[in-house]
Amino acid sequence: MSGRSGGAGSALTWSALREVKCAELEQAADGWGRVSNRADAVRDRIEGELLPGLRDTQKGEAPDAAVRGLRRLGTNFQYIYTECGLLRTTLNSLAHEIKTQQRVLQGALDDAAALRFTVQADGSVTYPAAGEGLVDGKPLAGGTASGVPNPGMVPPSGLVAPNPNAGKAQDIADRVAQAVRAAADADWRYTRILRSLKAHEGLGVPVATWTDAAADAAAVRDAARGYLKDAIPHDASPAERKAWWAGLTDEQREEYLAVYPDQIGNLDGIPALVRDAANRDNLQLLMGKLEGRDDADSATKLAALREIDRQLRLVPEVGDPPMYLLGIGDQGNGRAIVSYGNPDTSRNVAAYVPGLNTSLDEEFAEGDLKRARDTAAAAREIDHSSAVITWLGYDAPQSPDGWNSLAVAGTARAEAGGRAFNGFMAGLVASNDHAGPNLTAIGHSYGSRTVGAATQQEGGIPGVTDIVLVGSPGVGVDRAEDLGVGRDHVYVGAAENDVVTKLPASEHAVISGMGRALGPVGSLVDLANGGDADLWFGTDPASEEFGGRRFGADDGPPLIAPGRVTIDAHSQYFDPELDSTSAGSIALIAAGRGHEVKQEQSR
Amino acid sequence: MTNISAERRGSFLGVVDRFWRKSGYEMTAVNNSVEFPAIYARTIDGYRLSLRIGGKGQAFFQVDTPCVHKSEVARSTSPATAFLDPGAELIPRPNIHSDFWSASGS
Repeated sequence: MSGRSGGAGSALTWSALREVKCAELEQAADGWGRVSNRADAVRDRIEGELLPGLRDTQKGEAPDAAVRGLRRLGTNFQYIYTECGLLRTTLNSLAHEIKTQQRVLQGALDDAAALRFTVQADGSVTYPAAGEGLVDGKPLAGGTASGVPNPGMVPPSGLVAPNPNAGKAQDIADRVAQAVRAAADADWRYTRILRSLKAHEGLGVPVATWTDAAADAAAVRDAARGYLKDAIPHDASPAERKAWWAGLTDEQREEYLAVYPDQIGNLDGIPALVRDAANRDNLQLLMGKLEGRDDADSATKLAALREIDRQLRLVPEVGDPPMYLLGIGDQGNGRAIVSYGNPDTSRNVAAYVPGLNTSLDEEFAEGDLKRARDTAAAAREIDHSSAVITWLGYDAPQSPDGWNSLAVAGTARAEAGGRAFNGFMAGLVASNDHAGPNLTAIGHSYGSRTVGAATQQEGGIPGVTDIVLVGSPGVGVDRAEDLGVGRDHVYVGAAENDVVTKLPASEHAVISGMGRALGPVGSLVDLANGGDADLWFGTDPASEEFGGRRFGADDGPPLIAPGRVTIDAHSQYFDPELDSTSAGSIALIAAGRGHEVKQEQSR
Repeated sequence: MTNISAERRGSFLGVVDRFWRKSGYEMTAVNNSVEFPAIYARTIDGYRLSLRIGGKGQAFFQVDTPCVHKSEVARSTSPATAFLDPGAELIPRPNIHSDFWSASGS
């Protein structure tokens, strides 16, 4: 029928299609769903109760071995959760497609019955005599029409059957044939997917198994597109997405989480706890996917993902802000959004946008995440109800060739990043429990330019009440009040020796000469002149003219120290050890108490 | 932990500030905020100190060493001086009354 050689459904008839009991498929799907849920609950119990309990109370070799064993068991259950969840959606999706074709078939059969046509076992349709012969006026003889699965593929003969029933019979026969063909096709596709959803032998869950699970998820996603994905409201507002999620049944939520953790985990407006759960699964699948590759880019991202995974598995000590994975992805230079403290329940939420040279690598996973973690810990000393986020939701410019790249990057990355950041902040406004939360946008380096761009887009940054600019080469506007939060809610940190805060306007810049010979960092030597309020991307935010509130920052090491060139002064604003004044001020602002920050003289 | 009333925070930081200056530390920053005052200092050999008042008058004292090579640092083994629920997410706020440090009014 479908003509596909070896297709499992090549012998399918319309009567067989009509008799398929889709409810049984759905019951089987529910069964797999229950197994998946139970595995998830057991994994939670192992990782949330057994492991911490064992680590806190027992020391020595035997408990260490037990911890290793429990870890492996937890991984086993996570794998069971993922694969059983995929099985469930595969079966539901198959039932969905078969039911669709059953409806098409039933429509054709109903039409045939109404017209008193007979549908034969092979799908052809027999019709009675009707109409009037041109010659003798007698009714024209009846006949049989055979269906064509793809009518468009068969060229018309040019001859028109004179019996008026013939056309109707042909249409019915075509619909029957199409339904059978489509159902056979679905059967063939799902058979292949179900066969591939198999685990390796043994109890270990090696790397190859996760790589395989990533491929399984991709295959099921592809097949279930019509069944699940079309309903994910990508084009809706964050508030509408939140409402969509709230309106789903538990079963529907479980299926979305199992099949599209990447979509749900990165969807702005979805509750933080849900995004975190989805992204923790997605992280495993992403690591599996990248482990299957051997290029340098994949290796770099994989190292970052492993470090994030390590941090997520640590049992927090009292006082450590808990970690939520709000976004993760391997597109572009990589994506990662991590919150320290729950951003939905906290009254004060700050999001830090990193800048030049930031990408999903190990340095990011250690250094940039630490900035949010340190700031969150200090903010929670001020107000327990505080959370701080590192937001790598855009491709920041990279500078393999020193600051030349900044000139090349221009503002396009900031504009694109600003749009993504506004989407994320709109999601926070929707998912946060408080009526008027204190939302702070923190931009460092080129990230401050990104925050600047976000403020200039329609409506500004959703919900934001305060803006912090540190190590800024200019933000694209000349006055603090142009950022849309009121000039006394714009805070600026600029270290005396931070050369990025002194990059002259690009038209004055000469990137060449002696400094260039010192390498990427050396090219800064040529650039740094100071003394002028016109920076690379506009007025120096630390200047009197700009009009923000400047807070104190440690000078940092000079650009040219004995025997070396360093831009470390650009990188210590968040560091409670190296610059406690600046870090303490950022924490006060993040805790919604910016007006308690000690103000410093502008430049 | 002892409650430090808003009225006593200034004198508390003042006592520490005087001691640090007498010890030869360089005061690097002072925040005179009534609610969240803080003082920051640096010693001659590069140690950095801070004393900050956080929410509900809770005091935070921090000392940082000068640059060292990155290395594994073990968690503190000294037990907390007050009861600490091992499952708690947050360090509890001060709850002990002192006739002097917790006194309001003059």
